[in-house]
Amino acid sequence: MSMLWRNLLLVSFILPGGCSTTGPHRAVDNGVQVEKPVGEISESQLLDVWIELFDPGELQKDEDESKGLSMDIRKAEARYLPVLLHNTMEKTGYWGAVRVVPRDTEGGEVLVQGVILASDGERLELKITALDASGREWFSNTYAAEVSLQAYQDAEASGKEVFQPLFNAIANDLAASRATLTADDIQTVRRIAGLRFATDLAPDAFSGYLQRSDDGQFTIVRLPAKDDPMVRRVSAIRERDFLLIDTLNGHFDNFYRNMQRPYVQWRKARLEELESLRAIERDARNRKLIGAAAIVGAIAIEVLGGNSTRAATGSLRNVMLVGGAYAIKSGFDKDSETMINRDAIKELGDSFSAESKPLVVEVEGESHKLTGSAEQQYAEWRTLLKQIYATETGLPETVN
Amino acid sequence: MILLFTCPAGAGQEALLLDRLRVDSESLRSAEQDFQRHQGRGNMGAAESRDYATYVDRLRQRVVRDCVALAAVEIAIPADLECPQQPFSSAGPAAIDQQAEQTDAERAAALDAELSTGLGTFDEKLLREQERVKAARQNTGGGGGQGGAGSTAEGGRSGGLAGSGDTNGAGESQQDGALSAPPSTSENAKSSGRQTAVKERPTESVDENDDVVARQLREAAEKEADPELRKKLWEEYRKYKQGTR
Repeated sequence: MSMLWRNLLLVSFILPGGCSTTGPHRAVDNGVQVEKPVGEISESQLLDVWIELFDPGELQKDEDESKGLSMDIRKAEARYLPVLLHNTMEKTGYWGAVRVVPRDTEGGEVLVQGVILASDGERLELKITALDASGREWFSNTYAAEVSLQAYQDAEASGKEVFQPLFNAIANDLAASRATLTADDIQTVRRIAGLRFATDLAPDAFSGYLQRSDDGQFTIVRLPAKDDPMVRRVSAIRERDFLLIDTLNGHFDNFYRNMQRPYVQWRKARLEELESLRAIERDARNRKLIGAAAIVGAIAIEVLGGNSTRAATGSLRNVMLVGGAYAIKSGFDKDSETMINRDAIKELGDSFSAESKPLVVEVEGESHKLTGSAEQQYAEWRTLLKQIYATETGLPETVN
Repeated sequence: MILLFTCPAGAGQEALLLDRLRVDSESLRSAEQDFQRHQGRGNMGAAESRDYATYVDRLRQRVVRDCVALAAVEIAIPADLECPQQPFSSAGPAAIDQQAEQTDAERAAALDAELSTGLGTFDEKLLREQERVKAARQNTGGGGGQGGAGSTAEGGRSGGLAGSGDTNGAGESQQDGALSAPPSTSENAKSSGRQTAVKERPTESVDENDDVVARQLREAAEKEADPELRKKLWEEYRKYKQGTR
């Protein structure tokens, strides 16, 4: 099936509904390129982006659709795909530091969250939500793309990711949302992110600077003095927080590199089997139809033809009956061939699950070890900051 | 001279002291177990093991200090909490309540110093972890790909709170006192024992017709004083250039 045909199908599937229940739905064209700013963006206008590890979502209920897929694979993809988006965004020049972070990590200026709605090598569908530190939601869109075997061959030759246009589309939408912000908006987002981190770390000292509305929006009530020593201390800790996340990203990147080859091969092999399966299913259906038509024709001659016709076509009718029966039988034989493909798809999935699972366990372990150790350290720093604040201000330490 | 007297412990202070002991004891227990587990597996280097032991010892000292503070205000230690024994027997400074003898400024300075030490230790730990990550990447031979997650390279900024020039509100005219990367990075470098190295360019030629992203990377690398970070920046620059060819 050609790429164009696939895209048309996808669009026709999507357009009647307009929007899905998960937000605006976008079928991504194969030719989407990532956009870059015309000039250099000044440092004061850069926003840091944190991309959360994706939500692996759920597998499709249909057994045929989910054949060879597993939650182990989804968990691996939930760690792999955010790095792909990271790599895409990092090269645009629109952003400050772009980092992949564990889910529910506090402190980013722009937060990107993703849910995998579908991923089977042929089709990728992601729900992406972006919001900034003030709590303002930039968008919540669903992106879908389908690729052909030819696309995999082209991607292999060029060394590019086969679903790159989908990630380009997400990066472009993020850049477009950023473009709607004024310079003051960007400064405010940056300040709020810093103050949220400070408030989390030293609530005694910073709780009065931000206000949170019932709907989760943050506004700045006032700003700390430029030379406030508590600001200096919290900033020093924030630097370490970034270093910690960068170190974590090293683990995520290693995971991505280790996953890349087997993941690409699995997706391609699965699609190959899927295409063979479809071809055999088409062939089997055609053979059964031809066989049935031959038998029906022979019977029609038998019933409707006159004596002379019956006598003249006796041999032909026999050939049609036997041939039709054979065609139907070969159609059923083809059906059993499809079982081989189905088994192959399942085996491919099982094999890739077995390959990716230890990688996921390893990266999760490293992540937990690092964040667990850091949590202990942060707890110490929280206590220290509380003591310092109480000592410097003469106010009693609050008990959490 | 201001004399500081120890006041009788109120219910709030008692709860605070007990809470602190509980948190510190739990941290100590968890760190000791983790340390023993890593030692048992033999997956820590000598330096890492030494640093971890220092960290555990520091936690133990905190618990001792908490116990001393509770004893000073005559609060009984709950049965589920333990106080390490050995430092209690040491003579000398413990006989004098040095904390009570300090002024607020001295106490704040001491706490500040403790924070700085903690930051330095944390830096070292992260640097070691980054070395481990790098080694793991080299062992697996990479795998191609389009560059990795997580560099601060791309003209990126790092932490820093925006403070205002005054405290009267968030008006537009306020000067942003963002305490961003350069001073903190050099502070990192100092506290973690990293040295300021001579600036260096990558071995391959640098394209003076770089696009905006490559230029940002190149300029950041050229300006960076920290050798580790500079190396990462040049790596990112090379990767980016390869990707655009």
